[in-house]
Amino acid sequence: MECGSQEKAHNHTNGLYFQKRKKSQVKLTMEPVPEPWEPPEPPPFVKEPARPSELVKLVSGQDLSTYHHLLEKIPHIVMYLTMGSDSNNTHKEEEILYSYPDGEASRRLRNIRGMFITIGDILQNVTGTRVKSSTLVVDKQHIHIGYWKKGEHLLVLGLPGDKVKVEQLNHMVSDVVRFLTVIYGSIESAFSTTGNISQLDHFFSLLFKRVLLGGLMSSSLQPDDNSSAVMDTIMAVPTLHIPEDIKTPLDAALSELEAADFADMSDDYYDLRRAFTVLGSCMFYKGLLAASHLPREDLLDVFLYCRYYCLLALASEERVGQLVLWREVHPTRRFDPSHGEADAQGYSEPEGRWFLLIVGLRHWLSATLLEAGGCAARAEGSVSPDPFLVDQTKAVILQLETQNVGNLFEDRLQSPSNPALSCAEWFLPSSREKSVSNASSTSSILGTPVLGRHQSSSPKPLKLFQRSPQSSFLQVPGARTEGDNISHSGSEHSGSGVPSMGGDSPHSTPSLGRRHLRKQSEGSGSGQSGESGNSSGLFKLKSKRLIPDAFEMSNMNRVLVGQDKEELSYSTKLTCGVDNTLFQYLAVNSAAGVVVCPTQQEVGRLGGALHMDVIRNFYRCCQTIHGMFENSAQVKELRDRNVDGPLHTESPLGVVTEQGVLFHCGPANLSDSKRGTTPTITYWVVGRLYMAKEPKEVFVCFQDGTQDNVVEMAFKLLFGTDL
Amino acid sequence: MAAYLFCLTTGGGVPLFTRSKPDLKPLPYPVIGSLNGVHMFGANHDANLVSTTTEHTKLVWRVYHDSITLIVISVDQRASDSQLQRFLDNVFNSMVLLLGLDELITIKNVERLKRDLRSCYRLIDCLMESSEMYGDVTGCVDVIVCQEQLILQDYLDSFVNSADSTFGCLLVSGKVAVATTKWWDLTGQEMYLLSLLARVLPPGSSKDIPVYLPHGSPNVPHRLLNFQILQGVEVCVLCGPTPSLTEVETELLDRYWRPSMESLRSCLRINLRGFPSNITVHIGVLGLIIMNVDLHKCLGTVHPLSSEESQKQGKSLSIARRRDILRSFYQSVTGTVFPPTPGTTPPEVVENGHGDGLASESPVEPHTEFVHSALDTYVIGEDHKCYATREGPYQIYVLFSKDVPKYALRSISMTTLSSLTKDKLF
Repeated sequence: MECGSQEKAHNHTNGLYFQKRKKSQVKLTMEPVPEPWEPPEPPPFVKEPARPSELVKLVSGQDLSTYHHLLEKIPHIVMYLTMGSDSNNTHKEEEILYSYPDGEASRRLRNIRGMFITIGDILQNVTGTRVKSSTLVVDKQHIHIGYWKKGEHLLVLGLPGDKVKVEQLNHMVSDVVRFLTVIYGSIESAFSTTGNISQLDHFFSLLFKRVLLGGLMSSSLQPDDNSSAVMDTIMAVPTLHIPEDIKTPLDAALSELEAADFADMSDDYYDLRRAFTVLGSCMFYKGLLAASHLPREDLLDVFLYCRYYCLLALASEERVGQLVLWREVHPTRRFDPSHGEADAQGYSEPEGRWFLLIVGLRHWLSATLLEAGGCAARAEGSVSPDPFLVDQTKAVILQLETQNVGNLFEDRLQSPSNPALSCAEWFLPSSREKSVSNASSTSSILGTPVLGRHQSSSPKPLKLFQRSPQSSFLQVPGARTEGDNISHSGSEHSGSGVPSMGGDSPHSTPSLGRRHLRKQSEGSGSGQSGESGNSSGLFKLKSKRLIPDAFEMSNMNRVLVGQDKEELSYSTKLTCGVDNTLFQYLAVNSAAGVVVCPTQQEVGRLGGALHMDVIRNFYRCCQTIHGMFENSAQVKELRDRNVDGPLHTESPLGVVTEQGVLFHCGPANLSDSKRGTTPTITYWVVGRLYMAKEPKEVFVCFQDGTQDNVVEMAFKLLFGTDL
Repeated sequence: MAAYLFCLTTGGGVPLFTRSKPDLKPLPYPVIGSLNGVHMFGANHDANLVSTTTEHTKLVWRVYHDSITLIVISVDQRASDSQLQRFLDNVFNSMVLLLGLDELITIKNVERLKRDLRSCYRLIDCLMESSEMYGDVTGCVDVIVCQEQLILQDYLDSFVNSADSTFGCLLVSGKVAVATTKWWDLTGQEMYLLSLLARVLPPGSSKDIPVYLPHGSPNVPHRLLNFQILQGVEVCVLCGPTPSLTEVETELLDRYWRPSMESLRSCLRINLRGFPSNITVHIGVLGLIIMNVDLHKCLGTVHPLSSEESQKQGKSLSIARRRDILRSFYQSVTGTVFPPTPGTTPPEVVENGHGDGLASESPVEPHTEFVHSALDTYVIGEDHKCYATREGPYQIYVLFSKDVPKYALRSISMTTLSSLTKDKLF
């Protein structure tokens, strides 16, 4: 990694690692074959090793012109315009400071930039408020234009109306503004530096491709359940309810990294002031937030970065060989006073520079926020990443892998959703009888179709057994891992400036090794890396016996092998009544900056065609209700600020705290073959808002008929500590 | 809702008139000019500017027949494009109603047009205020339901027949109590604008005004004869050149209507409530809008209870606030959760190319397409709850006091809907 030698005109362009043009700083390799010590099961997708997937090409920015033929006809544009230039020279396009892309349809939008400039200019004067968006009709197609204006400059983002809604576009504009500010310090500096243009092109090409062609390239970029549109309007990181046995090792590993308490890497050892302080870090697994030790605003900065560069989609779809990303950032918390917390008396945050280090390995993605200055040494000029830190971060991920956390997480993803969900098809009158008759006698004791279905929908006890901690322990001796580690780092770092992680390197004792030593000294066994998994397995076994499940013999079997995750989730039913009528949920906790909803796999496992329709409808409806809640939040804010003026009237509905919609799926919605049986289903989509400083929102979708208490459901989802 | 309204000629950008809410200072001409200019610039580049949203306001542009441009600035940024477009349609069609389409399409003398347009101000100002009528947002005509409907229908039919017409209606406080079959064949917007016109006419016992039906006969005027029978009760007849106003007034009016006085008086008594006292609603109901989409009629009321009942109910939302919430709730539901009200812009208008003739020019933005159809929806606010449901051609939007528990909303709404729609009264 030789990047220290590069002098840059602007010190914030320290190198976007996967920016291919910038030397060979990028090392994004796809693993052609699974790791030798992985559980011996074939990967779900066997890719040809030589050809990186479309997503990889896209993220690495190898070829911005892919899909060009598809995009050319779709009108979309981003422009950064200045209002200061002489309007007589419009043909010279000198008011365009930046514009992308240059397709035929986009050029048409660029030609009417005068309209956007005028709107941005006069409406602010007329109404005294910021202009947000416009809608145009070009060639009978609706096009939404989002604006962001500061001083003389205007950022314009235009997308077709059949792909995004206006509200979604408004959020995207503010996301883009926040993103660019985090990366470049300010919008002006982002667009005014010519060196940034290729980076910006890449960024916007990713944005447009994600929004316009998302589903074409990868299902995780834009799932067909409409959820991405909702997620675009919610500023929160998707996460999961994670059981303690995943959470604990994760938090421990992150804490250890953040503590930076490496014996022979200490400040005393080298008599040098350390280069960076770790402010916090977070960890994603398959695109979901697994653990975060970052303040909310920092977390959201990191999330925006990962989301807009499609890193989350990448990590969830592909097994990343290695991804290292180093970037100077300007955290919103420090640079935007409206987001920052009020300083405590007598304390002010240190002046300094901040850097973001993202390391991806397999499905893991770790992001660490570093500070230079403050108690670390002051950074000057172009700052290169500390190779030691990169290795440490990788070591954390490898350690988690050896501790089996990845597999546990995978099990969590594979296990039935918690709280339990039902499939809409089960409630159709015809299939219902079937399901009841199919259900085993044990499940009919409980009378819920859920149990019966779960049995049939998880026909993989053997596979589960293979994945149990013990088995991987047996197959993966710690020494092997270590060796594997060395060979990897050796090959991956060849030609770069980072010292290899081998044992001969004088100053790199990976935390992994230290951990093992410590564990050994505790004297709890002779196994090395697998041992922690083993001990937790023992513990589970013990704890499991305290909560036996009286109803299912098969569960007992799993208890014996230490697989206790699944049947625990049976016990959480959000709805009342005999049947579990919950189809889907979505909980937004803006205080923590996270959003929880069932993963696509969970939905996919349940799903029939009707269920997928229900889910699509749910997300579409969430968008509407969320819009209502956002308005409520705005009303509240304006009330607090006592804003009043002739051009401002409060919406008569005021602060709406709950909205519900009852949907009916009748014969008309089903295909002809099913029409004979006239199955119908009615279900509610209800959103509830908890007004606080940071509002919380819950959306649930459940079958109509029972008098379900949404308040109770919402409470469980939002405030239930352990579902 | 609408704060400013600008009307300009599309060709030259000459301002024809400006209306604004009374407490707002008028905008200078250059600003109006550039608002229009932006739209013209786009049109010259084949990009039709539909709307723009700022933090608290929303602007919508619309061109009618390549001749008249209307621009509205609304103070509700949540208002949808289609709501404001409907407002502009109402404005343009009120102009058609009084001046005829030809006059607006082929402008010979701008100064004269400006003068003529003054006659529309009262109508337009009325559209900008939120009155106790809901026809402007629902696209239907406001009605009341009275027990004497059948008797009054006979009186009206024979009166209208004797005046050589088939179009006639009886208005109680500006709302249609009964109307002839032909009258119901008019579009919802025409019926609404005609009752609004009757409302804004200067007081007097009888009036005779030429009107152009925006959809039915935009170029050939008819005569609208309007007679006041009692304070608050008017009868309207649309007719040709004959009979004369005095003829009808002296010969027919008294003969046909004198026997109906008792029925009319009892009709007047329910006018605030809008439906007969034998139909009871739950005490928690503060107001409601019920619509028959097929017949283009709606009934809106914020006095659903008898006076003793409302005293029992105690202090609750003010009347104005109830109206605002109901309107706002209606608008937040229609076009987003419920499909946009069909039949408000009749398809034949689009096909014939007259009317507003905009369908090809600026297609209405596709409404949020749900995979399944929404039947019911509710909203819980700080001081109220709202519930809406639809069944067949009917839709009902009910405003509840906040004390009504959520589980009761649906059943009360259903009961209210069925009690109002039984016996085919509505």
